[in-house]
Amino acid sequence: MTAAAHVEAPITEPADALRPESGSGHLRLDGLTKQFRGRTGTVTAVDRVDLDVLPGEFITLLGPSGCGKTTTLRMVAGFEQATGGDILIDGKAIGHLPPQRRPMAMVFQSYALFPHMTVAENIAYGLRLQRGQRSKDEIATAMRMAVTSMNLVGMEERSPHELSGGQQQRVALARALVVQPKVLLFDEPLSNLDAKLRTAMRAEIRRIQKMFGITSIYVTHDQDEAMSMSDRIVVMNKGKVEQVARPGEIYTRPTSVFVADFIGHANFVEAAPERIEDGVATLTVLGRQLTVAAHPTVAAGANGTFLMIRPETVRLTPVTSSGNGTVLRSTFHGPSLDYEIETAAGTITATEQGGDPSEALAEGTSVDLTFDADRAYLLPRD
Amino acid sequence: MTLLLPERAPTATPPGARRRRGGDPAIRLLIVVCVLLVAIGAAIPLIAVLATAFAPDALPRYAEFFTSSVDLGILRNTLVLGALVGACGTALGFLFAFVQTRLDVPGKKILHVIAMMPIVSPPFAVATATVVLYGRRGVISNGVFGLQYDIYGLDGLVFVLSMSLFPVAYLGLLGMLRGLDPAVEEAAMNLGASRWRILRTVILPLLAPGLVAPFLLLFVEAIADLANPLVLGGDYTVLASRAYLAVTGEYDLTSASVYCVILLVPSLAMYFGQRWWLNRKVRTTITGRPSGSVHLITGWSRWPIYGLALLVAAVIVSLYSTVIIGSVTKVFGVDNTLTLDYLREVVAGPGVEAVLDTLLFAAIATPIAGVVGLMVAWLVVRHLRRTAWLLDLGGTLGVAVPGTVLGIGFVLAYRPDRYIGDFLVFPSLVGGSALAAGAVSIVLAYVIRSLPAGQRTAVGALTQLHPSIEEASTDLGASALQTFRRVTLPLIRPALLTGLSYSFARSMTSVSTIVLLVTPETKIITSQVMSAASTGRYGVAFAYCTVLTAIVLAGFLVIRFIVGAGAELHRTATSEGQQK
Repeated sequence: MTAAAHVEAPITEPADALRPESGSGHLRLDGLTKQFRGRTGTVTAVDRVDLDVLPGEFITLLGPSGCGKTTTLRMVAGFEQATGGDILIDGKAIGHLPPQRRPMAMVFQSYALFPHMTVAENIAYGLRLQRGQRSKDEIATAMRMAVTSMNLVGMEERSPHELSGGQQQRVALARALVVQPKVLLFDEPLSNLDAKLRTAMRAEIRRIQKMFGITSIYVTHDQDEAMSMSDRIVVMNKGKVEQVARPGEIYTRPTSVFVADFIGHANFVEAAPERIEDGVATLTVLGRQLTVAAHPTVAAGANGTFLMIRPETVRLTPVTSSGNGTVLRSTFHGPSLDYEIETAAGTITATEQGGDPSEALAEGTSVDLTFDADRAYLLPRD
Repeated sequence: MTLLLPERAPTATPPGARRRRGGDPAIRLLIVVCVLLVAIGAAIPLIAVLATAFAPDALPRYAEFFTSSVDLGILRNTLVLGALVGACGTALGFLFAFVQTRLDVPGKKILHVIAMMPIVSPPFAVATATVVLYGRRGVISNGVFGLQYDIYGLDGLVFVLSMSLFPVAYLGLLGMLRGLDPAVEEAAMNLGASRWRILRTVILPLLAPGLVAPFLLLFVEAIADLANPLVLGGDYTVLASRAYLAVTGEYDLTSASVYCVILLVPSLAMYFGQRWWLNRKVRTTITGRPSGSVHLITGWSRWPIYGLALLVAAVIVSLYSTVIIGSVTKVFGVDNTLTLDYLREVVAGPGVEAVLDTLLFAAIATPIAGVVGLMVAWLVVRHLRRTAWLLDLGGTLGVAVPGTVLGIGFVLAYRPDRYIGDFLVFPSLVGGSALAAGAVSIVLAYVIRSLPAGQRTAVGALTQLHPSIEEASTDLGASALQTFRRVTLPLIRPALLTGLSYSFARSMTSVSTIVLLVTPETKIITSQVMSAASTGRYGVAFAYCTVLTAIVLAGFLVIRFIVGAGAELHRTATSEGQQK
């Protein structure tokens, strides 16, 4: 099985019949809370999550395992009962409805295709349940349209186990889409695929989602996936929302050390701001005075604030003497060359894009370390 | 192929989320039906036995029991029988499983079929055939070898029970040997170990925990058995037959209850010990996906092992042939004239009533047991959380509690009419004046005795089915029952097929509970066989056994036809996931 086999022609068929009514699919989480009562006491898995998802928006819930992202998704789907707060779709509360009466469809981590049904039967399953409202012809038409849209033509009569991972994924997506849900839910749908296919499927899911203009909530622990797919990312930690923002903003202007650390790689240098004016802090790092952007809650003279420095903004210049750092180690990653530099402010990681491993700085080399102050960000202590 | 679906940690499944689905009225009704059935069929009779056994007037009986050398002898007999049958049956099961999975020999399929034969065997068939073939005047022992061997007693019982019960051990060990990671054996081979050394130092130590469960299970079945000790026990009395005698011979229900309680202690301990052992075993021996391939033994050493298995197979075949031949000859071994008199007596003569009654009761009980077993399993695995173990336990009582004990419980609980004031609230189910001449209690006993088989297989199938498959259905708009009918049921159809088949076979061959419930109006094949066998009318006994076996096999075909053959689905249903 090669990944190339799954990457098929882009989806071209417009499928208007499958589109949700325009302007619908506004999902709102209002103080959504989930507490588990265990033997050792009450555990709050999801803590007063507020979220406004606009119609057609693709939102990712991102966080480490146990942060409450999957529980949040399962509460939206109705598989878990919220212990507090409510879920609203287009202004209507649906928190009290059982999962089968919520206008959502989910793509599961394992796809959860029905192994005893063919591809066509899997896709038509949700439609057949609405038989009262749909004729056989309508079901067949909608099913055929979904099969065409998802590039599954010719596979209708196959069993799920005769399909590749990518094809199973598309069947799961088709099965969810044909019931015309107002919100599409994804529970780490790519985690069972190999790395190359995963990248291809990201683009495909996003393309289909845009084509149908369907509100989507996507759960993942893979920050790369979240960055490349989402309109907005919700970073969660210990049941709470840490930050909701567009991918670029999350990366350059994280609201906490946790977010900065979880998204990409970051160096944190403890630094006290001397002065703050209009969100710009003046401080001294590694013997140099700089001005950097600061988080709104950082106050002048505050102790224990951290300067976030992304490794790719660090520049190294080898010097013969009086450098502010020493090379500890270099690691070659293919597209980039990473250095660990020992400095007075602790060990700092630097990334050199396109670095040649044969010309890597030797261990013990004295270097002059600088970084791009425009891309650094001053964060408060968590 | 393995499941790549990540397990959701059980702690992450909150009780609250299930409560709402448990609140579905259809499911609530289902729970009530299952609980009622289990309570009436198993819990109340068991409580009745315990209540009688611990009533004030019963207490002196314990002192008597533990000071009487006769009673203590019976207890010792029971435990010795259980231990020997457990050991011999497990050894036989291992022999056949080893031949099946590790030897390069011809005829393994036929050997498998022969090893499975005892599962459909009617009680008394093996015992009666053993007497005819290997008894004092046995066709083989006396006719061929000129021996005058007294088969009645412990040796005969161990022989017959091991032969009848070992398929259970065989099936379990077969699965375990197949599941053993061949890479471990390859590693030993790679390090220079001989095949014998591998068996001794790798396979047996790895299987050792797995040998415990079949041993305990056979122990329970052996000490619960009533049919064989009655026919073949001779002077060798065990608790089950002693309790039976106390009820039918001495009308002493108090003593019977005391014997029951003393029998219950090792039965329940061994049965639940076995389940505990199996559950903990899962964590220690099943490690990841097996890799490598099995290397079959091709050297000379396979022949003695194979020879032993063939010998046992020959004995099994001889026993079942005797049943069939015995049913169509005047007196097999003495007067071998062909005759259809016995079969005629069974299917066209006085026996036809018993055949039809048994068939009718089993036909009513089988679907109830199969469906209730499935429902109990579904509720236990999917819908109940904190109370799941209780329903699971209740459903299993039919096999954990010896049939004789259950039968005595029925007599104690349901023989009298129950009045509140002058108002009859619960009519008598057992005895001469029973409702529908005792048919209700017989069907109930059939259901309870055969329910665990379906429940076990369904629990196994359901735990392998990832919950997200059912969630996907709910998510697309199906209600709990729609999901069950359209997704769950088709996926576990093979388990339903197995469950129904087991239920039918167990109902048709059930004897220890039933012999206490039959009335003059309701005749049951197994109790007819018992009276024929114990009065020496072997031809009639064999004829009943032959007819019974034929009905069971025909029943399997009918069940397969109704449920639909779905065995090939099993693999895809449970191993869905990615093949990387």
